[in-house]
Amino acid sequence: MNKNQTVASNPNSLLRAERISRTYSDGSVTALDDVSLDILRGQYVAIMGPSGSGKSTLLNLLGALDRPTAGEIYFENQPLSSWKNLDGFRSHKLGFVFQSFYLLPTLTAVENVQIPMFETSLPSSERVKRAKDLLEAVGMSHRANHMPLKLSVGERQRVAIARALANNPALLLADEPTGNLDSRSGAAVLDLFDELHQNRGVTIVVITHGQEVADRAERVIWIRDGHVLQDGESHDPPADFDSFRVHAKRETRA
Amino acid sequence: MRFGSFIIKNLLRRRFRSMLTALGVAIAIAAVVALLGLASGLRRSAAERFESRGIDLVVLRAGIAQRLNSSLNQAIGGRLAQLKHVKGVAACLTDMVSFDETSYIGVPVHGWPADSFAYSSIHVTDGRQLRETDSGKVMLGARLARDLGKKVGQTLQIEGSSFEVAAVYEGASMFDNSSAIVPLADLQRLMDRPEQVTEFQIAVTSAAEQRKAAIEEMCHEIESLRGANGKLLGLAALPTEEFINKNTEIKLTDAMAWMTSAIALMIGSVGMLNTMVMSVLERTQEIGILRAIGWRQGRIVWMVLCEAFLLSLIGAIMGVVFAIALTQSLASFSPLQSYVRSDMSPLIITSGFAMAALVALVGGAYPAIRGARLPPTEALRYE
Repeated sequence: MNKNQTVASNPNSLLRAERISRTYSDGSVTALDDVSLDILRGQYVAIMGPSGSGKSTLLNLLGALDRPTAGEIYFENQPLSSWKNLDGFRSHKLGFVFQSFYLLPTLTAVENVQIPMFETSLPSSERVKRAKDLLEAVGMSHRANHMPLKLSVGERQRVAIARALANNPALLLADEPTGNLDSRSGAAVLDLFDELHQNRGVTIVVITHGQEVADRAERVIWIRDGHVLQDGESHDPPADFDSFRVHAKRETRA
Repeated sequence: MRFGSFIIKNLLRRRFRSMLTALGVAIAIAAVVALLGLASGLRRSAAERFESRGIDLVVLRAGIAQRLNSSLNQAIGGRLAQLKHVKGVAACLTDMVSFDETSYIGVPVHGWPADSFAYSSIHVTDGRQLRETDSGKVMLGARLARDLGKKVGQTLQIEGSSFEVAAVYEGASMFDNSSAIVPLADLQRLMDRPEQVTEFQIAVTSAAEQRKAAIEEMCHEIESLRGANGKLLGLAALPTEEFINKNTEIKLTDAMAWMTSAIALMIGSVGMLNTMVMSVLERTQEIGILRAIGWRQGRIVWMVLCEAFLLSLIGAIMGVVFAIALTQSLASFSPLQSYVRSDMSPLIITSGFAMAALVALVGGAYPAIRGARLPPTEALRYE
């Protein structure tokens, strides 16, 4: 996609970035430059790129954790700038999965899953029921009352995924979800993503270094130096990405 | 899980720190409740004493700062008795004496004439009331008699003179029960204040609905009284409530209580602020997570404030219990019995809880707002 090209409005569009940029330090550092992309409902998208390429900045902007310095992001073709309350947007429309899980250490697995539900009007009993259902969906019902420190890293990530699904979001945003997992736990988490995508129709955007993670997605966006280099169904990197690919494979196999 | 459970779990994360913070609040609230309770007790006892005697007005020397320094000619009582609305005038000389044989210091002794209507406010439990012809006799308040170990018929040394205990009485207030009554002439002689009294206590005749207007009229009339030479007599007439409020000792006690309470509350608030700032700082990343998954800023503020309020509530409960225990033990400690009431007004206890809420608000607001305002992206990066 050309730098100045905008994305035409698509009725099936879920999240669309239109020529967004993000600069820091009074404009002297550009983390993301004139990026446009459209995530369609039901897609499984991987965003690949080396460290410092602008992946996390893009995730922060798509996840309404930050605002672009230029351009606009649309959710279901409505600009995010028109949302009075981006907290409400994140709470009800998005689910986040982080590399470091970020479970609250004082709460059990089932309590952690309930945390996003405080922003809904669900009564306490309903919150518990839904949290248990979600833990069952991610295969963690047998560990519902365990504290995070008593869980393996793979189990913690499953609980974090259940938490991300707590308010039945339209989009799951995952930032290096297998980055802290061993290969077996990582594969199990990716299997879970596949299951959520295929059986529940959840739209997933994964930011990753790992080719194995990207291979699961149906669309891969390659990004470097704040620019989108390639966006499509091909899992092969752009020609000048070979060195990165070797590096990425080595990382995921470690 | 309920929101309350989440708050409790957050506080239990650092049990020792939470306990110390609650203890800090408890000490502050105990100081507030105990001191305000003592001041309020003094005020209530003074009010009860006047109410029980049906006193509506107190006449003193104008311009004096302390009641005991007031000095009026006893003969003025006759002129006061002739005023409109007057039901009765009781002359009273009050002084403070010490009993050498006990640890009691500053016991109030009243000199009353035998016909004073003030006697109607006390109930003689043993012996008999003072008569016109009595001299060298004393009536002891029940608590004073008990502490001195004196019974009717025994003698007591007051300022070097021997007095025979004529009666033991129960009064309406702790002041009455911890004071003594002697014939007016005896006290005038003992204190070398012939024909002098400290005050006149006046009961008015008017019905309740006209009483206020009658009292105001009388105050003006009394303060305008002139002597034979045409000069003002220099009297100050005060309705009892105003008299109590202007009492120097009560005002001083109030001021001391509020000042000490303010310092205690300030220390409690700083302790709470320190704890909550640390707590929010330690949980910066967690707060970032909560914001990222959609918690509103208001909910973060509410979470931190609830933690502060819960700590304060625990502190307030402990503080009120401390304060009640403290006043109970002070009230049973002989040298202070006359000044300390063991019963605690519900208003003072409520004030204690209100102060604790203030401590929570002062100590919790800044960290709560600071935590809520931190951008989620920055908070997530915090290590």
